[in-house]
Amino acid sequence: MVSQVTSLRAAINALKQHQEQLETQLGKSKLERLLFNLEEINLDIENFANQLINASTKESALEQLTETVDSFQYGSIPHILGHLETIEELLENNFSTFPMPATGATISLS
Amino acid sequence: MQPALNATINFELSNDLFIKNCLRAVHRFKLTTTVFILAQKVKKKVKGLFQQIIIHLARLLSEPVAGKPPHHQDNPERDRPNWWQEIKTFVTQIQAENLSEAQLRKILEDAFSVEEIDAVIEALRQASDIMGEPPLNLFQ
Repeated sequence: MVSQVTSLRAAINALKQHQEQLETQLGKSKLERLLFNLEEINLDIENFANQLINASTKESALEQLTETVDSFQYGSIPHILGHLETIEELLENNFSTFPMPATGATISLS
Repeated sequence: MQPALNATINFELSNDLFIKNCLRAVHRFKLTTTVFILAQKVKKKVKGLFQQIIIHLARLLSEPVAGKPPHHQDNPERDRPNWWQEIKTFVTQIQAENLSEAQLRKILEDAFSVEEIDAVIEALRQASDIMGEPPLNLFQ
């Protein structure tokens, strides 16, 4: 079985590639905010990965790995959760009054 | 017979006392361990939040802070209010731990140099200026 490796960075780039198409559904401002929040999450994850790689090459690897994991758990995770909540709000607001194409009526998902 | 009975009673009493003392010691040990674990969590949390403050100050000021280069510079003018709000939340979360300045410095100096801590305090002052708000004070 061949595993396909992808990343959040690739997902952000894909969203940017389809920016015009997505803007018609989300609106320019919301799409910008979505990308901003995803970028913030991705930077924390990339930073974590880089620090882990960096730590593994050091003599005091175990100590540095512990520091890195602690920093991610207590600093990055709450930060990421904050951005996820914002994304959730963004998308919920968008879909709570999603127009039904056939009738033009709206359906509430809340 | 009488002295032997007394001895048994004394032994039982002291045995009972011994168990009580053991239980008291176990409870004290549990309490100390819990306090220690909580203190460790506070330390880790404060260090993690301080790291996030550094990262976001570098983004907001568009320059390195305490050795951290600025990332996410697509449109800093637009994104500054977001980062500023996040910095204020991180500072509030640290303040909520009700640590004295000496306690906070001691925790931070375990992971950051004095120069790095001072650079962050200066960067917080600059960021407050840019955002047109009163200086944000990490130390209560």
